[in-house]
Amino acid sequence: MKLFTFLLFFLLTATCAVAQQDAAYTPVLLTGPNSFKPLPANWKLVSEVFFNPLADGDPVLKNGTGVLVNIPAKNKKWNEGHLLTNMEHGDLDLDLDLMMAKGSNSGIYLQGRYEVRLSDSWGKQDPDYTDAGGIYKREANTEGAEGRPPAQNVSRAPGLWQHMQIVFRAPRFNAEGKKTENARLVKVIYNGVTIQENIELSGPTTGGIASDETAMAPLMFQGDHGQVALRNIRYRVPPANTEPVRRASAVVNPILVSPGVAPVVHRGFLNYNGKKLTAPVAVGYPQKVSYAYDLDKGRLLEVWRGDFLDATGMWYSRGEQQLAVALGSLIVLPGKPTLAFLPGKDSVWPDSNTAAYNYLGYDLLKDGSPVFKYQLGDAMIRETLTPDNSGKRFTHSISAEMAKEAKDLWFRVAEGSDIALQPGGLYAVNDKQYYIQLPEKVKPLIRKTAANTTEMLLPVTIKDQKGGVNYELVW
Amino acid sequence: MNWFGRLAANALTCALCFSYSQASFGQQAPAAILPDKEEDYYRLLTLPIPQGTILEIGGMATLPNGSLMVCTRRGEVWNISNTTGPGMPVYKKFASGMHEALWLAYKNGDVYVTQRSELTRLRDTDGDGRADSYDKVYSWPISGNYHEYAYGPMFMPDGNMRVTLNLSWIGKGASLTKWRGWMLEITPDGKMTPIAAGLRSPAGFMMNAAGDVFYSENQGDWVGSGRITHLEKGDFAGNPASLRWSGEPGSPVKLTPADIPDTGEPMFDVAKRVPGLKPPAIWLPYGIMGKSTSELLNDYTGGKFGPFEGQLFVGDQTQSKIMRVALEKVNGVYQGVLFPFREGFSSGILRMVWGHDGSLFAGMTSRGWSAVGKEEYGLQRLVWTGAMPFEMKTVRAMPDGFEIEFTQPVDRAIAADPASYAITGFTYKYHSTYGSPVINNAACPVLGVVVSQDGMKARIVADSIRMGYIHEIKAEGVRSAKGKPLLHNFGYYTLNSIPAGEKLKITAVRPAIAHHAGMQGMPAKTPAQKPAVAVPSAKRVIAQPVSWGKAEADYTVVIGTKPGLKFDQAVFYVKAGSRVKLVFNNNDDMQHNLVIVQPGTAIEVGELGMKMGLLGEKNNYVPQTPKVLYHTNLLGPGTKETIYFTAPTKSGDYPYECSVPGHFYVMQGIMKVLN
Ligand SMILES: [Cu+2]
Repeated sequence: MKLFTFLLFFLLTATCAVAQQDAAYTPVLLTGPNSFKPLPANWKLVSEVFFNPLADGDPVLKNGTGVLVNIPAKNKKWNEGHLLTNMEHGDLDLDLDLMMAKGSNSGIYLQGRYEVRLSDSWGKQDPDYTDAGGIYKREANTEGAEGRPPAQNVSRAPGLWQHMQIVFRAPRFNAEGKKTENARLVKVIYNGVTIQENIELSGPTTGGIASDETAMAPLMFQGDHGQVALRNIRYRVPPANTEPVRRASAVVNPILVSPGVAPVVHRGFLNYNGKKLTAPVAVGYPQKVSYAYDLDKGRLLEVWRGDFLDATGMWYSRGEQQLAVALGSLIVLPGKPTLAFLPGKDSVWPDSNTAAYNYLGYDLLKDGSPVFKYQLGDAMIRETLTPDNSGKRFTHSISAEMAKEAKDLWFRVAEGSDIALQPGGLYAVNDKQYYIQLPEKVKPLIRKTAANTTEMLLPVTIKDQKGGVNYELVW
Repeated sequence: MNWFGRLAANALTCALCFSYSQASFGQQAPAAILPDKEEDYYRLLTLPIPQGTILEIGGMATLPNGSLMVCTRRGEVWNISNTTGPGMPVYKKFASGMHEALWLAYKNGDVYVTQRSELTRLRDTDGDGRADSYDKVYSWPISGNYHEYAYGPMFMPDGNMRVTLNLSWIGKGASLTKWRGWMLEITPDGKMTPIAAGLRSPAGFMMNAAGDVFYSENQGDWVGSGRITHLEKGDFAGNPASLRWSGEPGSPVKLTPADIPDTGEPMFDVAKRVPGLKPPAIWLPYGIMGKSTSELLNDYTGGKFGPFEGQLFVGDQTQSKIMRVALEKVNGVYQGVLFPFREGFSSGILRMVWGHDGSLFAGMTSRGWSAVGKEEYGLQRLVWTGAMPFEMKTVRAMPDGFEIEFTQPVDRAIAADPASYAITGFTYKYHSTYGSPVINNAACPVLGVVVSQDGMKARIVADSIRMGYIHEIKAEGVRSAKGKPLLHNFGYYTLNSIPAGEKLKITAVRPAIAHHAGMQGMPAKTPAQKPAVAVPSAKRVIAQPVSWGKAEADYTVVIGTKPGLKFDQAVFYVKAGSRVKLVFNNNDDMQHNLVIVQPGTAIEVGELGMKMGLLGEKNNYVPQTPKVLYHTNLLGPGTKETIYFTAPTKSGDYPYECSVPGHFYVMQGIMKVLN
């Protein structure tokens, strides 16, 4: 079987599995009294929450239901204020959204005993077992014993909704009640990336509800450490056989690309929204952030956090697909051209600048970052994305040169279901998926699109034949 | 030379002497003279490559300072200095991140590479030895099909650049986006003009001293065997997929796909009534003279590389070897002779360039396309030792035959004996089917030979020479004045035109002896003869045997292929004496067969298949031997065949293989017969 047939097969089964899960998931009701043992006072039910990623301070809350937020009391005590479900579980598939506060940590305790770590690990380059998605150490006094860091740090900024899926296998006991098989974390998927796989747990984490082990017990969310919000908590008892069968003939040593001390520029085919693009370029940074850009249309496709690329589909054997695959946690962007000339403020943003766009090439800056060069109408454009040192943000900037004065050139910054200015000055896009930070004094044009989404545009004013503008994508 | 190359060499030599009985020419080389080897004249040196550097070479150029600039399939460009020693070569990465760079050129301080969809200029503006501008010169649309390779640029004297675009592959060659299958010319400021169509897999092209452009082609649909074609503006080189775009503005080609008959006649004959269809200057008989023609390299070393100044060296990817071509222009048409030259390279040769010292650098990769040289990639250097090999330097067409020029004086008496030579004409079918068997092969009896006074030339008068045909010219009997046999004693002359001029008066005509004329072990036929009707073979039963009655097969086995010359099943099990239905589905993009053989005889059978030489393809590369138990025919890409057989009654491991020359070394599996 060809490698890519295999991968395709794998992807298809994965997709099917998700669809089945959706059908079978039991939503845990956050509004009713039936889901949890009595709510400790530190857990509040609200409709919206926001934690400022850039400054400490109280969360912004909005009355209502749908979101559980934990705000530990100032005089909190150790091992108090945990949230326990009425449901008791053995094997479990769990799926939820979570939001961290700046510098905060918490944990999900399977059967109230085995902790998967929640933490504000934003921008951390070398995650350990205390970081988001880490499996906390087993023994209280031994540093790191059986602790497992996540395979990659794919944590997003505080105040953004993040997504976690856990597949848990409970310990097994014989008729005499003797444990015959350890508990196992079959999988932890964080923001779309598998960060733990098939981890055996010899015993409970200290800090759980009990030090013994059992077949059935409630799920627990830790409440005694830091601020955290949860929503859309869903679970089901997994079907008997959840592990995909790997065919021996399909095993190929993967060919991975990763940046060293300098960024890596990589041209090859990429799938984008299910379509194979033939002229994208992927750029990966040592800070473990990457982006993909389409040279065919002059548009930013996606950014991701974590590992860079799997090039097996290009470089194994004949490379029949010529397809590279992004390895980290993706934010897929709308993929419209970065720039356009708009006749009026109501003009629709084009899907393509067609013949007005002419890709010219790219230059490499001293640090190895590419600067894309193209012609757009009469303007010569240079476009870059460069990350900050901690890999928390990309600065996306363009400069334009044009012989005549122009006021109708626009830079499209973002599009989402909503774009909402948050306390502290960040714009949260698409239900708090990522932030946009604008330079001071820059006034965006925020408007509804025909598809009932919201988009943010910045004007590019050409004066003395030059112009330029930038924003930061923070996530 | 590794053992593998030597093996292949021996097999080839045997193939060529097969038709000669020892007694048919009286003189034997004196026992004291050992046969020469290629390495006695051309030494092969391997350049070390640093660990972790995956140098799958796609393109190469020599810089003015003697360094090599090399680009790779993984999109990197390396500057390699100190390539001729003493000491180790030094590797510095010049550029990276490009999409499959398969050609590199150097011009005025800039490096040019082709990527899949773009001709790119790399410039080091700050002089730190690394490219910092990757500028598009020109780009073309691509569909995303893996077969859409792009090659070039070759700089023309006026500074314009030529590129070629490989056809897509969808079970056959296809031109899925504009100008696939074409040669294009691109100006430095990015203006494009289509030049010629009909290309299929044009990995190599070059310009000769006269300013004429040639490209090399790989066997496939509409390409019966490898070939080298002189491409002029407006030419159509044979594969009609590209003609989809001949109606576009700027197309110099006016033919449409409907103009191309799919009759299987020789291409030369079709070209007579389809103006614009260009037959090749050189045919490269498939399997004997390579399987995937690649680089074309003119010898302009001024004698530093030996006696072949002005001739053309031709690389082959699959057979990891280099061949040699001497072209001539007769009545305004290019044609010439093709000889073996040097084999035993470590991987598949894609690129060749001259070093400043006149040695030849071969850049190689075989990833995904198995080559005789087993390395995944490599860089080797071929150096002339300074000793003069005894070779046919060239062959020229004459009004009544051929003139062979030698590199050293011959023994005139032996060389004057017609029995020292054998000439056979043949050609290939021109059709949409992948590849072609050898067709219309017929002997050209040697009527007489006149050897020049200095012993450097032999003028051969032969009968039945045919225009448009390939002529295998064997000179096995010829000895040098010192008694040596030729280093390579055969060549293939593609005869597109016969020169006018005076014919020799042959006084003593020797009768042609039939068995002299046989080609590669098969009895010769005259063109008038009907081809023998294929006799159904018990080893290939393609309908369920009547004797099975209504019973189904005990086992139905379906075997496909994987890239890199593999069956998709390495093993299958059957019970001894059971009824087996085997479906071989060739889902690869090249020809394969499936041959089940006696335990332990896979290589032996493969080598017997190789010895079938030119007639191998016609006979499905299945040799007549009891070692072969069951087999399919040679299947074109995207075709399948079902065979029925009864499993051997003796348990054991029975190999199955593709017996196509070169494939059988790796393309094997095991049928385990259990009790
Ligand atoms: Cu084969």
